[in-house]
Amino acid sequence: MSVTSAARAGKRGAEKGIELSDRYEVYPDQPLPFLNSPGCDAVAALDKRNPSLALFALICSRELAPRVDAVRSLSHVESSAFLTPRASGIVTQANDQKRKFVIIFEQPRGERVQSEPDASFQPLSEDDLIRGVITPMVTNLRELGGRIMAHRAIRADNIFTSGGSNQEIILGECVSSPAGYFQPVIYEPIDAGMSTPSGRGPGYISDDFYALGVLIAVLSHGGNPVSHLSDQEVVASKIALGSYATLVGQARVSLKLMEALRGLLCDDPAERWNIMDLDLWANGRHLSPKQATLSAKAARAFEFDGEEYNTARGLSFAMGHNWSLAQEALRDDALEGWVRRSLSDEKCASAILKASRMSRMGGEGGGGQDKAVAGVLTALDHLAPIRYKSISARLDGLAQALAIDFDKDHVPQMISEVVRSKLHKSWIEGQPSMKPEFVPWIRQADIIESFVNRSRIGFGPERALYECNSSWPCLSSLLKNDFVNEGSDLLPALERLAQDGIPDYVPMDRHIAAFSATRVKNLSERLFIQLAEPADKLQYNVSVLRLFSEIQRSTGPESLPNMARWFAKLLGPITETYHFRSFRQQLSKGIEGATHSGDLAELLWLVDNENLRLQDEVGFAQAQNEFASIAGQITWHEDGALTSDAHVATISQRASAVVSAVLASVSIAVMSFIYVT
Amino acid sequence: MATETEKSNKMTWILLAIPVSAVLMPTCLLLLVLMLPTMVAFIVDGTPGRKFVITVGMMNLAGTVPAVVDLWDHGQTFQASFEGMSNVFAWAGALMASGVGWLIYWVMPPIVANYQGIASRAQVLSLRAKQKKLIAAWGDEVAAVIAEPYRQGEESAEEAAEPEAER
Repeated sequence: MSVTSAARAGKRGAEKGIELSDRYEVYPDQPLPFLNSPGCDAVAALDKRNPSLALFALICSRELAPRVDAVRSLSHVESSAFLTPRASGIVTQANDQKRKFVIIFEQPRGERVQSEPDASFQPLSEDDLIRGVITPMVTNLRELGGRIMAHRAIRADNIFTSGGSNQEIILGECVSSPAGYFQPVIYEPIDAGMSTPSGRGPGYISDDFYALGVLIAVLSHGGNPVSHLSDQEVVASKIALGSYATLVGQARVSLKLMEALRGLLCDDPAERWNIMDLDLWANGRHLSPKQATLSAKAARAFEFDGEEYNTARGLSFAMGHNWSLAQEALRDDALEGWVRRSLSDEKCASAILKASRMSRMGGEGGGGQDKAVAGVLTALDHLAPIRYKSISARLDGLAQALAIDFDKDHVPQMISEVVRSKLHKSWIEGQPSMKPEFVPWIRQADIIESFVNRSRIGFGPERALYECNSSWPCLSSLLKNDFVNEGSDLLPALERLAQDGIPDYVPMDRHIAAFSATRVKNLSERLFIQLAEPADKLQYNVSVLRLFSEIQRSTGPESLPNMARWFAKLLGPITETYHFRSFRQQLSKGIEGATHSGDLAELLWLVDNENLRLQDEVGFAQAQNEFASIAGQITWHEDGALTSDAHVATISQRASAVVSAVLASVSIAVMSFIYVT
Repeated sequence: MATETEKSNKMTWILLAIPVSAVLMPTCLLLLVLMLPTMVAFIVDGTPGRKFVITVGMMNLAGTVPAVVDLWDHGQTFQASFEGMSNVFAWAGALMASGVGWLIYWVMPPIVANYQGIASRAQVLSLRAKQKKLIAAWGDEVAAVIAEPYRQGEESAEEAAEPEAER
């Protein structure tokens, strides 16, 4: 038994794993490093219904979130050449109590074709490539095409040998991290290679065909054919020479394979081979090899940053990497003159002239300069991604870049500036034709724009993040040890946060507000307006409670005793705002009761009871009036109003008359009685 | 109108008094003489409502009852009336009774002053107790409307005036 197989056997069953979906067990203390994916550790897993099956689980991170939607979609793929997710869910690690999203796969029987991204290996023959790699990959790409999703992780270190006599490869997983994020630059088309990893976006199926072409080149070469080049040099070479020339070059390739390589490595996505072309080729029909369409070369070179550039695309790529020098290049008309005279591109020259003038009018350090540079870069290379300062993202990658780099300095701000400056629209206008696949991404950019323009809590870039990345987990620092990507998971996560002791802070921040606004259905916007405009701290806490009580009503669970205790602690001082002591006692008892039941709505009713508040205020005003009235009476008495000479005289005169009348009446009656008898 | 009504009432009484005094002339003459202290009081009384006249007059009237009864015993003649006027005991009775009226009017002010002083102090204590109950029920802030500082008393809040709680 090899080391790998020994490791695969593991010691499952010796100790209890963490249960997942009542069927699987995950063993975080039994790592399987040879199955690690970039950014994710692999550990042993067990199917309790079929314990003999070798499984592994990938433990995903919150910051580079897994493609949860893709997990659901791909779990139904029936292909022996594809690592299908069998199950997924959230488990709590025993050692640090962190909750992680895990995805369970069946372990491939064979090894990785390329053990490390830079490792060399025995080159595959043409027959092995066609039968063992391309044929199963066609099946896989057809499956993916049927689901209208791109794999974005087709590379030599993510395919496995089947392990038996069958020489077909198995394509590794693509769901444990954002699409294309860990893909080496050589596997990415030029525009995606120019993007930052976070800005590559979910991509298109044509990206997978390009990656397949690179994979064939790598496998036939026995490793990375351009390992001597840096990422930037690879892209620059692809721009200058074309992808085929860069990756295959002068290597000896059969005509049949060259045909496929030229088709798959075509730099124009519209001309690149698709599944039909590949099917035809696999069935023996010969197609004419695609020829690389390179950028027009200038009659004389343009010098930028000490280098000379002959093509607009090459210059655009270089300028995008040196933003401050690019700004300087717009201060005179040299660039515009070069494009007009040496490239004879009047349209591009006019765009540059317009941008240069705008830049000069904007003055030093103005936002107009950055916008002008972005416009010039797009004019020079309309196929390149949207570039703005340190942002470089494809149209479909803006939202993903916002999510992945949200905590990086100024990235949300820069993406906000991109959409506010309508750079995405300028980019679309710069394209030779409007493509249908742009439509959802234009809509997504519009959503980003609509939310970043509203800065209050519940909106802003955070809201844009969750609106445009439907399965991205909540990035709140309060939930850093949890994985919350469903609205219904939010309150249970906060409930767990409070189970070991009630924190002093309010369980609310901009991420939680934006997340709940997006993922919990039918929440009124009024809740967030109240959150943004609190009269005081207590009122803010009441607004937070109101939001959470609505979430509890909408998603459950019915009882949240820890959260109720949390809010009871935060809102305890609210009882002191009532004047009437009896109300205070009544409230305290009510809050205690609501805490036990864990009903946030009941707690809210108590602390936000307008009728009770009104009664208290009216009663207090009456009590104040009564108190003042009594004080007046006391003063009247103490000033001797009753004992004054005048008052005494008046009273005593009346009393004298009364006493005299009574006495006289009695006397007359007695005398009358005596005389009569 | 009120003045005319009063005048009308007075006239009614005078019209009624004329036949009565005509019938009871001896009695009226005797009373007129024996009620002399009351007339003096009427002259000296300057109080509103003439409470002094009432006080002395009531007792004076009671003091004339034996003389009037004696007159009626003798057939209510002018002779008996004049005898009554010259009777020492009749005068003594009328004057002593008037003196008691004077005495009542003289001793009443200190008695009333003492009573009012005691009643006033009791009232202040009662009012202060009410204030303490209000403070117990509503807190010190209820006294904020006046300058004088109040401290919460020992009375329970339940004893104070309470608005009806919602639940």
